[in-house]
Parts: sequence; C-alpha cells; structure tokens
Amino acid sequence: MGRLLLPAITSIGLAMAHQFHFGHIDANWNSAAKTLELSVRLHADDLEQLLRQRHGRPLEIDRDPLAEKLACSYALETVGFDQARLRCLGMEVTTHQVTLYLEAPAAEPPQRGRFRSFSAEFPDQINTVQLLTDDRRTGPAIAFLQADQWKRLRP
Amino acid sequence: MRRAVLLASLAILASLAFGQSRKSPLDKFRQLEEILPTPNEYRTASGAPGHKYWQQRADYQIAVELDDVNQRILGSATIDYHNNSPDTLQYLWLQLDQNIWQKHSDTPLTETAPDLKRFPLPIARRLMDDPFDGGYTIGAVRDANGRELHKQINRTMMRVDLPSPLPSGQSFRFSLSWDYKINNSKRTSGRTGAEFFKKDGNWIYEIAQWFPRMAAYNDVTGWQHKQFLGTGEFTLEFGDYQVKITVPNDHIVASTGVLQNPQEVLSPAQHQRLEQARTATKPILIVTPAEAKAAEKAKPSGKKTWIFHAKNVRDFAFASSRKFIWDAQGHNVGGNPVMAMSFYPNEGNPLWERYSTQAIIHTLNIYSRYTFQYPYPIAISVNGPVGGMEYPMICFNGPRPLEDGTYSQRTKYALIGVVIHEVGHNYFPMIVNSDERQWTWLDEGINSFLQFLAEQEWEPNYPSRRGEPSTIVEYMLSPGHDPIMTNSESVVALGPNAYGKPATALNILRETILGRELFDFAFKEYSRRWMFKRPMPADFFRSMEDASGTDLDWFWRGWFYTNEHVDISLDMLTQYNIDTRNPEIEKPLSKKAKEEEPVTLSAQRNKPLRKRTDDHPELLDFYNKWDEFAPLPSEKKAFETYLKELEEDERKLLDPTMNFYALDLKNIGGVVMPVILDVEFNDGTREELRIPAEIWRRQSNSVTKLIPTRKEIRSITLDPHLETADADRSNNHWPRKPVKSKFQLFKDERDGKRNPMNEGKSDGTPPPSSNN
Ligand SMILES: [Zn+2]
Repeated sequence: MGRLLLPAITSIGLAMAHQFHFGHIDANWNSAAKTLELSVRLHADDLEQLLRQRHGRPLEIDRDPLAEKLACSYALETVGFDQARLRCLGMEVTTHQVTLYLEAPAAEPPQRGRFRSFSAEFPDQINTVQLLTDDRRTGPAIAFLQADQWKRLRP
Repeated sequence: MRRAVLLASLAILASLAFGQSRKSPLDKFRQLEEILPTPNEYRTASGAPGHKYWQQRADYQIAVELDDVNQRILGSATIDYHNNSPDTLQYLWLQLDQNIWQKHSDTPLTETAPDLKRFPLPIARRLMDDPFDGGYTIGAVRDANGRELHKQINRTMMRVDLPSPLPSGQSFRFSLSWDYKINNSKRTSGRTGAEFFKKDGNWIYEIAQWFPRMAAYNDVTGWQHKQFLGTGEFTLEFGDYQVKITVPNDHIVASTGVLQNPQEVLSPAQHQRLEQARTATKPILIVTPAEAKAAEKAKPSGKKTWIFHAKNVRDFAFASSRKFIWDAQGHNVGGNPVMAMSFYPNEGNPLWERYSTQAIIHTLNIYSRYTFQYPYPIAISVNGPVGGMEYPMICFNGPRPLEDGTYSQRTKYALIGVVIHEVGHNYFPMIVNSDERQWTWLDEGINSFLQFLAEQEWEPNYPSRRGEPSTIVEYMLSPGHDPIMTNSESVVALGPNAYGKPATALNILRETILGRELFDFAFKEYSRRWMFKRPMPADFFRSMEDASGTDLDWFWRGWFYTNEHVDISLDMLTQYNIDTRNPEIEKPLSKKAKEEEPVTLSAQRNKPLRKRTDDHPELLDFYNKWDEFAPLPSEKKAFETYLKELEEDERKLLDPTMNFYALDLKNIGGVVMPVILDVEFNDGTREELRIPAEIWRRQSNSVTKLIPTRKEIRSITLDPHLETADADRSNNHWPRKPVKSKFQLFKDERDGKRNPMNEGKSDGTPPPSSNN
C-alpha cells in the first residue's frame, strides 16, 4: 500500500491567461568522462510559483539567495535516470526560463527515466527528454505525460 | 567536395532545382479545401463575412450587490435577446460558468490522478469531500409579463424554454436572479475571485463570469453549449449593458463601461482629478496611495451604487476594493479618446504606478496600428488575485513586488508583459469575437503574436517569452503533441500549443514567408473584416491568403494541422563545371585531375623497386612517351566544327570559369519551409539566397538545388538568422560544424562570474556597483 504525502501547497490555478506547462531535458551521456549530463529546462513562472507555495513565502527565483538550492532539490525530486546519483551543479535563470544542470557518474547511457516536474500541478503538462551521446542526438525525444512514471528510454 | 563535370546541356541549366527520389505519398502542398468548411452565404471563400452573415445580440440590465461580509454575489438581470438568425428558436441556452465550482462538478470529476507521492491541497480537499461550493443558485426565470418559464440546468449550461417559438427577427425579454459564493483565491484560484489581506483585514474582489450569460448561437455550431471544464474560455454575443453595482460605500469600483454617476460615488476632489486626467500627459492619481491606506483602516458607513453603461461588448466584469489606488490618463487613439486607468493596492507599488497605465497606452498604440482603432472609451488594468485575465475594457493582472517594495527583473517584465497581453485581448477575442470554447489559439495565438510586436517596441531587446522561432523548437520536437487545430479542452501543454506555436508561426509568416508589407496588409484586413463579428479558423486562413495573394495552404497544413517540426539538413555539396569541349582547356584539366588522384598503397611501395625497363630501355616505345593529355589536331578540329554550329549567345555559355554547385537538402522534420542560405565564397564574400518553400512542391523530403556562380564556395549555413524554427542546428552547416552544448557552456562558465541579480535586491534602479 502506498502512502500519500500532503505538502502544504495550494493549487497553481485553473487556466489563466498565461500558460506554459512544458519541460525539457537534454540528457547527454559523455562517453569519455563516463558521466550523465542533464540540462533541465522548466518554465520560470511555473517554478517560481511552485516554490512560493511550497515554502510559504513570495520568493523571486532570479534573486532569492535560496532559490537555486530549492530549485535544485525540486529537480532532483522529480527527475531520475536509472540509479544515477544525480547532483545539481547549479541553475541559470532568464526572464522566462530556468535551466538546472545535473550530473551523475554513469558507466553507460541511461535505460530508464522519470521526468515528473509539474505533473502534479498541471494535468496538461508535457515533459520531454532528448537523449544524446557525446552531444549527438541518438533518436527522437521521449514524451512524459501526467500518468507516465518510470519509462524505458530505448526500444 | 566531390568534383564532377557537367555537360553543357542547356536543358540542365534551365532546371534550377530537381528532385532526386520518389515523390512522398503525402503532397504537402495539396489544397486545404478538403478540410475547410464549404464556403456559403454567411462565410465567403475569401474569408470575409458573407452577404447574409448574421449574429445574435443580447442586451443586459443588471443589478448586483457585492456582499463584503460573506463574500457573495447577489444579482438580478433583465435580458433582451434578439434573434437575428434565419431560424425559429424553441428555447434559449445560457452559460453558468460559476457551476464549475458546484459540488460534484465535472471539472474535478474528470480530473486525472496527479503524482500520488505529492499532490496539491485543493485536490486533496476535493478527495476528502470538503470542496468549495461556489455554484449558482438560480431563482425563477420570468418573461416580461412575470410568467415563470421552465428552465433546465445541465451542469454549466441552462436551457430556458420559450413560452412560444421565437421567429427570426424577433426579440424576447426575460428576467432572472441568482447568487453565489465568491471563491477565495488563496484556496481556489481561477479567472475570478477574492483576495484577503491578513494585515489589514480587507479584500480585493475581481469579479468575472458572474452572471448567467447568453450562450452563442451561430451558423457554424448552432448553440455553442459545450460544457465549461475550466480551460476553453467563452463564446459570447455582443450587446449593450447597463449595470448597477452596489458595494460598501468606501469601495472603489473598476468596471467594463463608462461610469454614469461619478458625482454620486466619487468625492468632489476625486471627480475633479478624473476630469483633469482626461487631458493629462502622464497618469494622474484619482485615489492616492495615502487615501487608499486611510480607507484600509476605516469602516464603511453604508452602501453605494456605481452605475456603468457599456455599448457593444461581449461580456462585463468588474473589480472592487477599499484598498485601491487609482490612476488615469486620457489618450487619443487615432481620434478616439480613451481613458487608460489602473487600480491597485499599495502592495502593487512601486511597480504599478510606474508601468501599468503606460503599458495600457503602449498596447493601444501598437495593436491599433496592426488592426483597427481601439473603439472603446475605457481601458483598465487591475491588480488583484487573478494572475492574468481579460474582459472587455478591463483586465486583471497579478505581478507585484515583494512586501519590502523591491522587485526582481522577472517580476517587472512579468507585469509589463501581462498588461500588454491582457489589454491586447480587447482586440482578440473581445472585439474580433472568436469562439474560445472551441479554439484557444485563435485569440491566444494571435494575441501572443501582437504582444511580441508590442514588447519589441517597448525597449531595446525586450525579453519576450514568445515570438522568436528558437523558443518553440523543443515543444515542436515533442513526440505526439497536439496540432494547433485541437479543441481547447483537449489540448495538452496549452501554453506552447495555443500561445507559443501560433505566435511563432505568425511571426515567421510575417518575417520570412510573406514579408512585412504583405502580411501587415492581410492581417489588418482580417481584423477589420471580423471586428465585432465571429470568425472561425477557416476565415483567418482564407483572409490571409485572399489579401496577401499567396497560397499558404502548405503553411497552415504544416504548422496548424500537423505536429511535425522543422528540420532541414544540408547533406552534400557537389561541384560541377561546364564541359567546354575545347581540348586546350579540358585536357589540362583532366591531367590535373589525374595528378590529384591519390597514389595507392601498393603503388607507393612499388615505386622504389627497380624496373626491367630501367635496365632495358630498348623496351620503351611510342606509348611510353605519349602524353595522353596533349590535345590532338583532330580534337582541335572537331571543337572548331562544334563552335561553328553554335549561335553567338550559346558560345558564351561555354565558360570554363563557371561553377555549378548541387546542394542536396533533406527535409527531416516534415514541415516544408523556405530554404535560407548564407553562402560564403573563397574570396571572403558572402551572398544570401532565399528560396521559397515551393522548392519542395514536387518532392517534400529531399531536393537538390543548383547554385551557379563564378566564385568557389567555401561554406554554406542554412537558416543563418534563426528565422525558421529549425530544430537541429548541427546539420545546418556545410561543411559540418560542431555545436557546443548548453551543459558544456555552463560548466565552462561556472567558476566565472555570478549572476548580478543574485547579489542583492533591486528596486528597479541599477545595481549598487553602477551607482555613483
Ligand atoms: Zn491570453
């Protein structure tokens, strides 16, 4: 039996005039360094609102001293590849987009993945993963919809 | 580079592009008639309203009271419904949008399971059977004689049965009353709601979708009574509104329409400031921050009724609070005097006093230039609980500074961007009245495109979210995503689908496909044709083609009806030269070619071996000494004969300095697009080649383009200005160039500079280091 965890956050809202609900990861396996390098792109408004509600204060993601740490921990919570022990190298914020950089040692390219950022908040969220080896795409992107949990990344 | 020889055949020179492989089974240029509705007398084949175009009309007289103690709305209305259709109606349908907050409404019932490890509180509340109950209570519906009419509520829709059929051209008057509990936006957020401020105990109300509104009846859908599930917004009829809004007498009301009784609801000073604002050159405060602060601390001594009249609007919304600061500036939009006004609490400053009204005026200027003159007398932006939502003449916008009055760069641009967007919605869909329940993109996509144009004229390098082609590439690569032509309630990833992708498509149509002049004329024509009317997607597609004189079916097909993406690959460049048949030219070239052939490994190793002919030179004969590359007299003679047969202009074509490059292009993404090439030559010069998408019309998956030039090509870059949303830049260069990943760039820079925004607070002035 699973246990449900209820965090103290409220709805991000019904539909508003500004929508995003799309996330993307470039997941590159660096064959020389034997590392998995992730660039996780999330919409800055969505992430900022989520962190505000989770932490109960109106933080601004582009200047709050804790924003990087909180954003990293959200990424680590919602993103997974095989058993890789991901660590967060940092975050870049532009006006509309947040990119989180994650890395893990990996002897081989990943076989299974999980990308559930905002799937609890938005039923219409799509997240996609683009696998690369040494910065070359190895196939089409893989989409994660709300119901998708761990997914095979390769046929 | 492969080098080959091209026969001087004039036929080949005439053919500049030719296909290589079999024609793809799907013709990307086939016409859209098989998909679009057949034109008729209501909607023409050119995309304009037909000679028998009609639309219904509904005029409303409403009295509403805002109960500030219990957060309730109590209303009553008399509606005059005008049947302009050619049909006789047996019943009327009204929309009860508020019923999505009824207990057991379809909206939560049809919600799918979230991440069960961690899910938001409102969903938990619904599951624990403590939902917010904000549905309508509807009183008796009566005709003009006071006779009660039978009504049937079907979730978010209500049918009112007419006492007798309503023939074409006739009107019907009926009345009804209602009430409902206003949602607390902290617990249940939406497009409307109330926000409570703990520290002073006051509320801001933003009230929308607050009365039973006539559903649209039209020539395409009949009654548009598709249930409201929360995403597909509204389809409404135009009409005149007379609305009496009763609120506590210390409230300030912002509303659709023109205030009819300022002398009754405003203080003499406020009234005078409002008059002064009409001709002001910057925003004038009607209610000052200090006055709003004082009102927060006082208690109301009674009620006041604010009366507003609005002509020819599709909806009506208002906001009310004792916390409101109010500023206003009169602005002349092409001869139409408009009052641009902002309402916000002290919590909104210093952002709101600086940007809101300015952004309203900027929006009216830019949007009017591309569409039609703003026809209404009022344009309002309100700060309250709603993040961003539009209604006629009024919109609600969320961004605010932090409590200490400082704000980040993101918050600043969020406010300017959302005000432009929501005020911009006056044009689409408030005036160009598209059916949002069916097609979100038809207003959001067009509005996001115009928002991009307006933002780019706000300040240099304004950081727009949508419009630039590169911003949509990752979404277009996502497998199985919805085509833009997908119903509003079914779309997954509504933002990129209905806002970002169509906005990008229109920007590309304007910059790359039609050019600004043709696009702007056609877009304006569409806007004017459908001003105060109800267009459908086909009317947009047809109008743009009709007024630009361009067949764009391939473009609508690729961008709006498929989920393919753009990825054109530069596969191979082959150089060809003319065979002049002149042995004096061709033989030395052949010799050079032979000499340039690599020496095989065996030949290299055999070279030092002593040969028998070295010891026995008598074995060498004529053939050992003959230069096979020396022109023979017979060959020279043959060339002279050939030259005599040619006309003078044909002789000129035998130019040995001419190069022909065959460029192999592959369409990997599926969407056909123009091919934009930046060609760099060995002498350092460059040339841009802009080839229309029609190059793909016979072969949509691969083509070869012939480039004749006297220069030698050093390199070619496809899509050099990033204007086509090409998804894979690694195949856009010949020869191939490595593209550094974002991850690597981040790692490279990680130990370098920190982001200056993280170093301290910003109050909108430059960071301390740049202060004197
Ligand atoms: Zn919008």
